[in-house]
Amino acid sequence: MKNPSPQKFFLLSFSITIFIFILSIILILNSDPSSFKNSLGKFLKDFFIANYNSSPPSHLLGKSVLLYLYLIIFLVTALLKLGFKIKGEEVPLSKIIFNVTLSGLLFVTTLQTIGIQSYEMRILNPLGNKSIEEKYRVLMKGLYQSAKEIRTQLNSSPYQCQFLTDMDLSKDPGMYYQRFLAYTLYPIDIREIRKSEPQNCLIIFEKENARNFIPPDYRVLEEFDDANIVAIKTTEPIGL
Amino acid sequence: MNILMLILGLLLPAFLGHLIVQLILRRQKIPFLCSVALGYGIGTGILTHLMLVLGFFHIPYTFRNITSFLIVLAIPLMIFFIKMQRKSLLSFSVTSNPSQAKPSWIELTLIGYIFFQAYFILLSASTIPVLSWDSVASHSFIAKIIFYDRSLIHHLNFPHTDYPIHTPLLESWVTIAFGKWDDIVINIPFPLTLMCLAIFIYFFLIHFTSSRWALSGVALLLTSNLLIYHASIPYRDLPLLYYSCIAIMSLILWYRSQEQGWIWVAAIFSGLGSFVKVEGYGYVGLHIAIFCFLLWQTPSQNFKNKIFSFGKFLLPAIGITSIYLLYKHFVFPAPEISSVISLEPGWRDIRLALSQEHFEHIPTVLGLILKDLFLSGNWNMTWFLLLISVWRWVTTDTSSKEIQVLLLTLAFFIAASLFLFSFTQHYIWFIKGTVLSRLILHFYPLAVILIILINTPSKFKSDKNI
Repeated sequence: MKNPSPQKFFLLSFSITIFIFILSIILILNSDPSSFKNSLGKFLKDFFIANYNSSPPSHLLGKSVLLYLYLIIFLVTALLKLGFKIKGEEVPLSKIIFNVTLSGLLFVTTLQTIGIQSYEMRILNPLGNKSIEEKYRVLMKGLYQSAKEIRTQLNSSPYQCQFLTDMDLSKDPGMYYQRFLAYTLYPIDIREIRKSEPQNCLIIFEKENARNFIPPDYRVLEEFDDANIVAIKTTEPIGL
Repeated sequence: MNILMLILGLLLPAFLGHLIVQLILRRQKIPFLCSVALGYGIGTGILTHLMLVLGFFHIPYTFRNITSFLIVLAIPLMIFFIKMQRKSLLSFSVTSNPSQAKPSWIELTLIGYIFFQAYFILLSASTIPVLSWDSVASHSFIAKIIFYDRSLIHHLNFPHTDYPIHTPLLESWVTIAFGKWDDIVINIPFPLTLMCLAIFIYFFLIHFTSSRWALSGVALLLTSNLLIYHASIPYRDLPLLYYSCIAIMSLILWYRSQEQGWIWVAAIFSGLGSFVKVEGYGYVGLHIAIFCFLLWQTPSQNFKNKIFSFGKFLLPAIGITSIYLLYKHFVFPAPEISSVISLEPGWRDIRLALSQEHFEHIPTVLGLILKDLFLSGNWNMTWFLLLISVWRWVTTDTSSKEIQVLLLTLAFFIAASLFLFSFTQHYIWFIKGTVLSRLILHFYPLAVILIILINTPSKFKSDKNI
């Protein structure tokens, strides 16, 4: 019994795995030829999805692409084992599957690199030369603009504000919006960080008939619309 | 000027940590980069603990105050460092197997890939301001409060009040050094953390293998989407994995070299991890268990020496862990803590339940863990490669204690996750999909190290005469 050289063996595993994998991708994505280009673009783009909790995988026919790859790995391993046996070469099964898996890893890494490039071009590069405020405007749209306007009205001063809203703060998106506003507005405090200090400001955000909720000892600083108002206590100066 | 102060604000703790590493491991030939990679973690850990103490005594967080204290700490270390006779008493060295030859095309490709990923991380960290959920809701928000207060005066009103505050303090420190609040600048510590982790993993692996395998390990580490994304956002998970994994690797280096300094390094990193996230407390227990296992597997030490070594690990690890607990004991009146917890019932504490309903969670939890490991977009194919590698290892050579320890640690992590999510109220968070991948992230580098150690040429497995 003889053994193939490691380099030749790896190249063989790599070529067969990649060939079958690419063929499978093309066959699956080409099931609808009219949208092949879009499907391929999305397939590659999804190899890098920025998510802080968990990065979802790229999908083929609704299943993780890795599932197909594992199937191909087992198939190629079986083929190679059979091939070596016919040629009279003795290669341990664990070595074959390791080489084939490594081939799969290299291929996925290549696709992931394309996904990262795509993320750079779509998300990072357009933001590259912008100021932080402009970036927030692009990324958070109206929410950041609202925060900015409130901050301007209150002169970014350390007001202790009550925050009233119709948003459901017990779940997203309301929960996140409130947190984001609190973060962006600080030192204007809407999360009772300085709750030992007396409340001297009221921020009514996305609340119907906002005017009805303004206590008599408050004066309106700015009424953005019917649902969004900033008010401070009549005794407080503007901009502490 | 702001940039210079920022650089100084990061260099000073790293330098302090570097001095401490050099003193602890004075009998070793620790390469400068490896020392800095460890020093960054120790230095920033000292910095945040110093800020905690200053906060306790109501000393305001100004650049001058904090740097003065750091310099005061560094001066005696510096004097000792200069006076110290640097002798290599052991043959062990982290650079025991340096590759002097010209890098091969494979190594160049790996280096290219590592730089590509590093560039992406830096680009992302320097482009995207604070947006992610926990940053906005918790630690970056806390950092902003600290930045404006220049103290911990409102600590009792922080979101997640009793949570460890290493990350918010570090974020506030970089902005204090920078001189103004900046939603991009606070990202800086996180790519640096990954860089230090990668450097240390490289030096760890190069001790056991060759330059090519060590580079492969670092490249494989960076194939994880979740890891590289976490290196570009201000989240607590990356610092925790940095501390926890380096503690484990240091214990393995101690086992390998019997150099007592590594026990100190492991203990310091283990303790500092507890100041990052509450999971860090559990990881201290895990590190103690690993150390006990390794001590048990060290026949060259007598019982007395083993007890002495155990004390060397336990005292710093528990000592550092106790700092924040003591701080809380003095700062948080007991009713305050319970009222905070009762406002948000049961996500910080662990309530065990062993009813039939909870046993029925096991298949769901196990299924989702396996799905995350093998089918998500988080880890590339690392876990599958590990599975194949373990199979190879089982069918060939199972004598290596290092591999045994790493495998046991991974098995413990997975079993603990399974248990925690099946039999406690944390099942809800698990089902929501917000915690599992980040928990796996804490031990993901161990999988990479294992793959390299198992598949490395046989030199490491027989090289036991250190």
